[in-house]
Amino acid sequence: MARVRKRRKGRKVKRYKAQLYPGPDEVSERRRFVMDASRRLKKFRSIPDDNLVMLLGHRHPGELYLSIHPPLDELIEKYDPIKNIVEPTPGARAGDRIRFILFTDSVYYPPMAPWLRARTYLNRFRGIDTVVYSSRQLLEMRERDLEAVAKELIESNLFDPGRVAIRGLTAHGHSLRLDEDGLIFDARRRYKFDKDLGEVVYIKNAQAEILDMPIPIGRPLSEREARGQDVTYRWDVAPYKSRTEIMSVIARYGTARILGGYNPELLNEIDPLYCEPYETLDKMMDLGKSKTEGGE
Amino acid sequence: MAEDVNPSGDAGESNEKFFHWRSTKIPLATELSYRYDPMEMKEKFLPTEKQREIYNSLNKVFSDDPMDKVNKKVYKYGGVVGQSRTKQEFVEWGKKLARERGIPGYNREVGIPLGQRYYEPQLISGTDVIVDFDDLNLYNNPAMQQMVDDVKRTVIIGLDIPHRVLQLRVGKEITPESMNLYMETLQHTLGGGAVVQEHMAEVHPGLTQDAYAKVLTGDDELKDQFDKRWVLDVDKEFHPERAEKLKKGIGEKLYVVTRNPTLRVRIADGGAIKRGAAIASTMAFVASYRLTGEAVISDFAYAAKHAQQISMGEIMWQSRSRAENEPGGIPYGYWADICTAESKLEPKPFLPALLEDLEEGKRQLDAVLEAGAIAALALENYWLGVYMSGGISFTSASSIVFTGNILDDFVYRFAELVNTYYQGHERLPSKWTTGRSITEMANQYMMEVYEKYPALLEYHWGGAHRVTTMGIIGPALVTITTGDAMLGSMLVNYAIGLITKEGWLRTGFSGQEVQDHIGMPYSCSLRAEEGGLIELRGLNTPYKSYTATHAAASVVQCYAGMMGRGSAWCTSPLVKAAFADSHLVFNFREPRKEFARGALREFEPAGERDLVRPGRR
Repeated sequence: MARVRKRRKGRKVKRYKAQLYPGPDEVSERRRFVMDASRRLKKFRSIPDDNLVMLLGHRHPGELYLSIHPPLDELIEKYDPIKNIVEPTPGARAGDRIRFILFTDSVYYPPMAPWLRARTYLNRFRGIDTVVYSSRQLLEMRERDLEAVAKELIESNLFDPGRVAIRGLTAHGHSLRLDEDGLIFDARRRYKFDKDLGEVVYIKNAQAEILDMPIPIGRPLSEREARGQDVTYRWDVAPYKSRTEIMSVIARYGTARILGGYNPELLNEIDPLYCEPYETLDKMMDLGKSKTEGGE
Repeated sequence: MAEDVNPSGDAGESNEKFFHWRSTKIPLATELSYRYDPMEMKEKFLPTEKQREIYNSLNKVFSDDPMDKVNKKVYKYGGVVGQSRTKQEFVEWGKKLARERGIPGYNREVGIPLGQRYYEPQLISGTDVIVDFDDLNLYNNPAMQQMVDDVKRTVIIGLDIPHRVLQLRVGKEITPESMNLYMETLQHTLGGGAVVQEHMAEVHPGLTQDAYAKVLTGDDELKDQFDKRWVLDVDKEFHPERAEKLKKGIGEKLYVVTRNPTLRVRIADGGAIKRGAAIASTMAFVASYRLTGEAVISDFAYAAKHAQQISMGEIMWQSRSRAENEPGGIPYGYWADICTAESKLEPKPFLPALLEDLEEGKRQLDAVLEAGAIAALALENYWLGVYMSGGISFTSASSIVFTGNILDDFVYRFAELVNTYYQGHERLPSKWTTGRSITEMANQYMMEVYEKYPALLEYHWGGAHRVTTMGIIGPALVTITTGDAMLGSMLVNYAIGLITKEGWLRTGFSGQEVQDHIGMPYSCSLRAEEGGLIELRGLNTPYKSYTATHAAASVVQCYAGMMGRGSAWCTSPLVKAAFADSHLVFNFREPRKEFARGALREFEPAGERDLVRPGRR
């Protein structure tokens, strides 16, 4: 049995504070900001609830939520300590269906990117399942929880009507050139830029079904504004090659993984302060040299 | 950001010191020294960019400025049928099918509307051939199919054990005449001719005209005893120095390289090939040495099927469940040997060769890309795209390795850099420090090129495409300069799973880089389920088996390692020699040109049934 370690009397236990992301530059700061659940997202626009429901296309506005099981309060279940500890989300409590929203993020100055979405969703929201692709990020939740989260995401600085698209299917297009109005490509043409309104207008819902009326979703950010929101390293925003700290941190990860796989005890030799574990791995490479020369 | 800084410098809180080195000795200046807006300086570097192969290729493919972020013609191309000759042909065939058989088939009206964006043609790298994208689909390209067929139908059998059995157990004398008679008989049996029973239905020789066998040995005296028609002459197929090395590797042993008919691959599978080669050899021994049905024959069968048989691929485990000689069971090192693009080059280690003559170095890098083309096609497209997923092949994910001159441009650029900065080196030390810094430099550079060329991002429109490029180029540069494929394989994982991912916050499709995260700890593992030497790993290694776009990178590391060391082969001299054979239907020296011939419908495959079709007698 594992030995239980007693806490020393009087010792102050510091609360763990997640560091979230390395780097002192602006892009790193943006990444930290969106991942940090304690920091409030900035509200950039407003979208009425009914418009959101129509855009998602899971139910009609005003329609009751369909449920897949009775409300939890009415269910008599076997005792489970975890259920006592974890408070159900409103959607789970009501027995809502699981529904999804999918965002496709362009490569051109996106305010969010797939892996950052995954990390953000997991840090900020409860009761979720999420899948990362190269262009898009799927977020699955109970229906009413999803609507609340979708509203928060779309209204916030994490959304750019021009470079982030709401899609249910046919999600390709993240790395294609932008259209003449600067919008991300969509093979289903769910949206267009309304020049009179000055906003991006959805004419189809996420599932590419034609809407009864167009839904304006806000003004697309100008390129200058978008560059100020970009969370990726780009040659014309924040060149990746000059990110000394992030490169050192990922080098440390890579080194630790290789060393740990070779012999977990070698991990102790990595200097935790300066992240310069090269010598250790170089020694190992010298050991492995005779094995890898092969050929003749 | 001040809140994230730990000013205390307390070693006990090292985790907090891990990020933000203001409190450490690492200067911040380097991070902030690149503050400029390159878009404003575009006019200054545009003339240089225009001289690049990548600019010209993309310009040719897209008929547009490849550095323009906006495509004003998007949504106005009039659909895919208007843009593509092959799609028009498909539509006509769809109508024809519906009319003739009464059941509709291909129908462009269903599903998603294609062709909202530009349906770009494909320029085959290293050639001037521009083809339609559909021509590179495995099903439409007979050269691609034949490439894998040629690998699957090859089995190498050792003749030393059968010869000892003949001498010691049966008391027969082995003479040049008897050995030549055996070879002549083997040509007959491999094609489906009978030699033992007197009442047999045989195979039409026209259907199996690609079946043959050749002897292979490193001993010149032994070689001279055979009729030249069935000798795989290493001296003829390779550069003299390379041939000497190969002959030394093969030694005085005697092997026969058998090519089963392609038709057998088409009817059955790799397991049938293994047995087909064994039974053809055994029958040839029985007939040429006039043996009867005694127990000694089992020794021939055992030697041909097990003791001295070299299959190209091993059987796969239960859930993959394929016989020997199927692409998934072939180790990466064998794939590197199967590509013989380097056969006529001097076997000089890459770095000295490059430093002496830049063009020679570029030729070596071309050979590396040829190996990448073979691996991408066979493993990504054929194995994962058809065998494992049951699909129509991952055409776009594999074709980026051999189209658009993109990878070529990258490696040439790096060759020029190496030529400038590494003068005086024989081989770079195979150290993590060296490899990591070169890979970081290469990958950051490639990422910038992608960002600089929106047309390139559109050309490699999926994350999986870019991951393939990232996984191949940077690590291969390290491998070829250090000669260490193990280091390269570590760096493949590092380049994809960490460098690319953290820069762009995306890699490829779902779970794309999962094998990179477990691949790093498995790099040094020799346990069967985790790895082994990189040359002996393959898609038969469980953790390597389920994500596409990594296999080509691994094969490239093996091949680049071979070139970096100046070796004549990567894993087996026999396999290397077997695929330099000029009688093969597919030319493994120039796979990209062969794919182009297939796309242009100029490639004549084997295994066709024309002879027995109606009205062909």
